[in-house]
Order: sequence, then C-alpha cells, then structure tokens
Amino acid sequence: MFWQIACLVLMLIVLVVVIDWVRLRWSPKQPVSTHRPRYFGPGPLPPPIPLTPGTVEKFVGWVAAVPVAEAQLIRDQVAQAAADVQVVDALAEALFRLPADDLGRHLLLLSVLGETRNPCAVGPLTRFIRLPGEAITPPQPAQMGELTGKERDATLLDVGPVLQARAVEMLAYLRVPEAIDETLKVAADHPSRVVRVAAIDAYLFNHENDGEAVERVRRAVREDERILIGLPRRSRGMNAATFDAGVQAFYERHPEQRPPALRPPAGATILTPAERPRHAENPSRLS
Amino acid sequence: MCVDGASLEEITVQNLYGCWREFYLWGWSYFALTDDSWEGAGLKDACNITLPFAKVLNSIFLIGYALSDNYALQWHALEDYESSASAADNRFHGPFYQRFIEYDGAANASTETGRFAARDRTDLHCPLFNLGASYNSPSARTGTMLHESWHHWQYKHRFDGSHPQCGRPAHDCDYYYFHNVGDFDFGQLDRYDTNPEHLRFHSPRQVQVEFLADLAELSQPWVPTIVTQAARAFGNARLSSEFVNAVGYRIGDPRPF
Repeated sequence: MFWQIACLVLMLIVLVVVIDWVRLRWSPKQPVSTHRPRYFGPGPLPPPIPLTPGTVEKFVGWVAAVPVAEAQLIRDQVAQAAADVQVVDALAEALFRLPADDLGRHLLLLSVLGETRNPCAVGPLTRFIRLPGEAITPPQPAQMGELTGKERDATLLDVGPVLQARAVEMLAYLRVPEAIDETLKVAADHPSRVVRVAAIDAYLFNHENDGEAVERVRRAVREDERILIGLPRRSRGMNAATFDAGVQAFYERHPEQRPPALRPPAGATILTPAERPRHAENPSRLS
Repeated sequence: MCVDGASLEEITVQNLYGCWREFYLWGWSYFALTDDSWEGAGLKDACNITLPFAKVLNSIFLIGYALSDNYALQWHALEDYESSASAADNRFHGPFYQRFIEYDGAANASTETGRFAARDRTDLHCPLFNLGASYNSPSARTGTMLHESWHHWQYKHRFDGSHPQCGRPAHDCDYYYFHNVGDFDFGQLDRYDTNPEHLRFHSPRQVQVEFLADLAELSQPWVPTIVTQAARAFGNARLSSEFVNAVGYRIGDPRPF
C-alpha cells in the first residue's frame, strides 16, 4: 500500500514538473507583439541658448538635445563665447563639481570646453585628466553578496577613465603647444589604458596622422601599446572598403592579435552568413 | 531599492517620444518586462523616467528607432539588434524574460540559461538605474541589453558563455572576431562560421560594441548629441579595455561635435 501511494505521488510530481516545463519553455508567457509602432520623429528643437558664465547648465541641457545632424548649431553658439575667459572658467567650475553623477552632462561639458579652443582650457583639462579615477566616479555601492547559479555578468566599466579619455581628446583638440605636449605625456604615462589609447588617437588626429607625429608617439608610449598607433577610425564619413582594409592590415601586421580558432559545437547547424554584395554600391537598400 | 532619478541623457531621450502608450505596451511585451519584479520599479508608472521601468523603455527606444540602417556602413541592421535584444523566441534565441533585481554589487546585469523547468531570463540590476551611477544612461544600458541577449544566443547555438579574463587587475573580457563591414548582410547577425579561413563570429562584448559604434556614428539624424557622445565614449572604453586581443579600430573622430 505504502509503495503504491509513493509511486502515485512520484508520478504526480513528475507530471507537474513536465507540464510546468512545457508551459514555461514552449508557450508564450504573454502575448508578444513584434510590431513596433511607427515613430514620426521628435518635435522642434528649442531655440539656442547663449553661452555665458551664468548659463552653463542650461546651455549643456540645450546641447544635449541638439540632433547630431545639426551639430553646426552648437559650434556656432560656442564660437560666440569661445574667447571669453569667464566662460571657460565657468565651464571648468562645472566640470570640477565632483563626483560626476551624470556622465552625459560631464561629457558635454568637456566637449564644449574643447570646442572653445581657448588656451585657458589647458589647465583645467590637464588637472581633470590627472585626477585619481575615484575622485571622478561616484563611490560604488556596498556589495550585497555574490551572485550564484548560472548567471553571467557584464562587468561594470570604470567611468573615471571614460571621462578622462574624453578630456584628453579635448586637450589635444585645443592645438596649443602645451596641450599637445601634455597629450603625448598622457599617452605615455596615464595609469588607465583607456585614457592612454585615447591620447594616442587624439594626438595623431590633431597632426593629421603625419609620419613625424607617428614617430614621436612611437618613441613615447609603452612598448606593448605601440601596436595601437594609427588605428583606423570608424566614422560617419568613412569609406567602408578603406576602413576594412585598414583593420585587416592591422591584423596582418599583428597576427598574434587574431582570436583563437573556434570549434563548432557538436551537432550544431551552422548557417554561414552570406557576404553582403557590393555594399559600397548599395548605400540605401533599406533606408 | 535603487536610487531613483534621471540623468540628462535619460530626460533627453524620453523627450523624443514623451509618454507614448502604444510604444511602452510594445516594449513591455516584446522585451518581456512582464515579471512581478517590475511592479515596484515603475511598471504602473511607465512614463516616470526616474524609475527603472521607464528607463528600460528609453533604452528599448534607442534599439528600436535610433539607427539609420545605412546599408553601406552599418555593422548590422536595426532589426538584427532589436530581434537579439528582444525576449521573443526567434532565430537568435529561445524565449526568455527580463527581471528587475535590487542587486547592487559588482554586476550590472546577468543572464541565466538552461534553467530546469523554468524559462530562461536576464536580470537587470540597480547599477543600470541608480542615480549617480555611470550606467544610468540609456545608451550604456542598450549595450548591456545586447550583451546579455548574446548569452542567450550562445546558449541556443551551444557555445560556452563564460568570459575569458584580461587586464590588470584581471576582469571579464571577450575576444573580438573582426569582420568586414559587408561580411554579414542585414538580417544575418544570428549566423556564424567557425572555419578559420572565413571566420564569422561574435562575442557578447563584440555585439555590444558594434551596436554602440553604429549608434555613435550611424544613427538617425535626429538622434540627440548626448546619445551619440555617450555611445562613442562607452564603445571606445570597452574596445580599449575589455577584449583579450587588441581591436584594430576606434569609434569616431576625436573632435568635440
């Protein structure tokens, strides 16, 4: 009798587990709508705000919303105030309101400072780049224990160097001798690789990648980072074939940087991607 | 609870579409933000941008609308990224759902696959939403969502989803399997080829960075400046520090605007 009941209970448990498994795995938990509603674009942009020592925060708020295709509006607004030392001071003061609790705001403050091309920006940008990372990034929240099971984590990127990398790009963009010299020093000795690589790129960009500049960078930077000199830039105005060739040339020069071979999983059906035909000649198939 | 509040980028992105019921119902459904955990995180206050639910919708908006689908230059199509990030059963992965978790430790998100008698899931943690945290950014969050969705792709296609270590101090990284711009036609991001002669493959961070690169440089003309600048900054930082092998390119020109 006992064994009959035990078997019955066991069968019931198995049945419940199987039903639950099928329900959770194979039936939709909720109606899934794959149809994305149509978007008709944003409303009009608010009128430009003049950049003055007293309008820095409002100005940054306006810059944030300017469509990327209308960046010239920002350049024009900054140009009207670029020579004003008090504006540069006000931007620097806002930059040093730390820790940076709003990454986007700080990125734009740095961009506006760079756009002024005012030599007075060299000092604050250099100081910002040389701050310890923890002075920029808000303190990490307390640990609340370890994850368990089969979770896989995306690491938290340290944001201090993200902002310092932008700062060194803007420093180089000032194109005054002390800024250029400092950019090279940052490429050589900054504690963060993120910042050093940005400095290498910015230095060469502002020298139009000329051979002498490449040689100066080569002499200055760490030996293991020389391979990162002169990397192709993936940008709006690029030519896809030139970009591809530039990156392929990088891996031909440095075959040790190719990823290791992959073994196909047993029993997997491989769907090889078909090469996109003559992509450069079909610029707007879907746009 | 997380530290509620909205960053400038968050507010700017939501201002693009305002409080749009049709959109948030679609986002809730297609990205399966249906777990009870969202109840206390703004599920019933979907337009409150200071709360996690509306913030995830902001990121979904960037995934679903911000790319230009420039056929000549974009790494992959908008539809590729959207289908991968969505929670529906499709060519990228099986069905999963997304939870909100008040975990404040070292991870901003995590993925669970192969669960016994239960649907797979992705957990989004407080560091993606905390006011003052660096990931309280719609563009950074989109990258994370793409990254996590790729773990589901790995599971479906039977690849090991663990991350190799790199850097000092050692941290989770990935390999970058470079491919030419035209090597994957639009609509084929889910495919792969392990033949060394014509290797075509993506790791989670690679998908994440390729999306950020497309968002930074090939977005729709109306995409706000703050979004493209944040996407570029996060993308370049990851290229420099989160791959075991050196990646042979940078995203964008280092100019202010």
